[in-house]
Amino acid sequence: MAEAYASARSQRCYRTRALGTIAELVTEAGALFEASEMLERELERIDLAASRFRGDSDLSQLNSAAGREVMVSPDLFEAIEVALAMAEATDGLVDPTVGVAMKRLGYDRDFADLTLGVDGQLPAEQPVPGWRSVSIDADRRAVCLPADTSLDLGATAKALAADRAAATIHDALGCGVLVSLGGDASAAGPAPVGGFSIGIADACTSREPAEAIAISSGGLASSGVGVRQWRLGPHRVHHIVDPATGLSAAPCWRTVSVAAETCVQANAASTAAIVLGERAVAWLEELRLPARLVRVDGTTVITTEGWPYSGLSLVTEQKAQ
Amino acid sequence: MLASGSAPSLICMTPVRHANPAQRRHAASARRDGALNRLSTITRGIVVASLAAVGAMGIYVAKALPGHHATTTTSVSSGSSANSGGASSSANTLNPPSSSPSAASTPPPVTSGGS
Repeated sequence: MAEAYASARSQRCYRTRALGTIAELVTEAGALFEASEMLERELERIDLAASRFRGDSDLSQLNSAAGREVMVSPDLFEAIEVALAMAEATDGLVDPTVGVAMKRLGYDRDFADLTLGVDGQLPAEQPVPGWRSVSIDADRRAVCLPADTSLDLGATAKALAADRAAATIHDALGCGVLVSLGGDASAAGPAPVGGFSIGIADACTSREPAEAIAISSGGLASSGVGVRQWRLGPHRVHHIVDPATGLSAAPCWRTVSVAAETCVQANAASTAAIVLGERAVAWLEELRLPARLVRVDGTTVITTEGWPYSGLSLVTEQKAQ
Repeated sequence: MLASGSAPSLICMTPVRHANPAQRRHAASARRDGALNRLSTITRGIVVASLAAVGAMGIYVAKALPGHHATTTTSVSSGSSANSGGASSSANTLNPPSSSPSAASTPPPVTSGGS
């Protein structure tokens, strides 16, 4: 059920459920209604193109045709291009060819249907086919997946939708806007004084923010191992797959939040950080990405250069009491 | 009677001592033209060698660092999207935001990390 309410003096927030998560829009009061309609259209568009759980989606049809070349829609082609670009940018840490690995872990249905767990055993380690095995031809919008390969664009398609929706709304209405899809947020246009406020949640089981920061442009995304996890037989697994093993990434960080030039880049960096484990802090600092990492046991919060000190969280390897 | 070994010196010195101004200007002009021609030849050689080196380096790098199997890197425009996350020139890099995040001064209407 969508709702609209005042969030700040001149800004209003629109909230609805979409893509298996919560979609939120913050903009000027006078633009809210029209902006919300544009957001809804963008959400339907990305769902129809890139959902792994809709039988009628372009992605489902591509995955079912693995082994032969398929002409795909412009929306799906763009989503695949973005996914491959982020795979290259993260040196394969975020890889769209994890579809089969996700299914082996039981994530072959909408996440709401996984809450009771699934029967089965933890599969053996098996590297994913790898993003370099995907062939694309931009002139003909043709894509060819190797046999026994399927794409999961969940890591990047949602962030792409946030970037695209924010840019589209700003271009059409001229207002500043923040679009957040399940916490993957993108800002476009003039920001309110002080920026768009975003709460950062640690607990994974709660949306109660541990601290709040503000962004004026670009994107902010959080990845975590606590929210989308389920039981596979006797094992707990989560949705961030390490491409090197085809299994859920070894838990090191509970939540990683990253700010970047776009929401797509922020999402790729936060997901890659989960996969990298202990090496994530150095990697993020080398890229000069402002980030906040919470250890899996919740005892430590680490921030990289550029992340603001809010006074609400522990900073730089300071142990919780 | 001059010694035979002195003849080249006399032959060499003669034009200097006896040349009129017009002849001297002509000789200087000839020397200048010759130097300019040599300089032009050297410059052309450097340009050709540089272009060949750049081409060879490009081929070497292309072979050493292959990309994925895209047959073209042309990005696809889709609908009304004007500035999507993947269509920018820095699409395959991770860049910091143009302005760093700051501590929030107002209550956050949205939350990242809890869903």
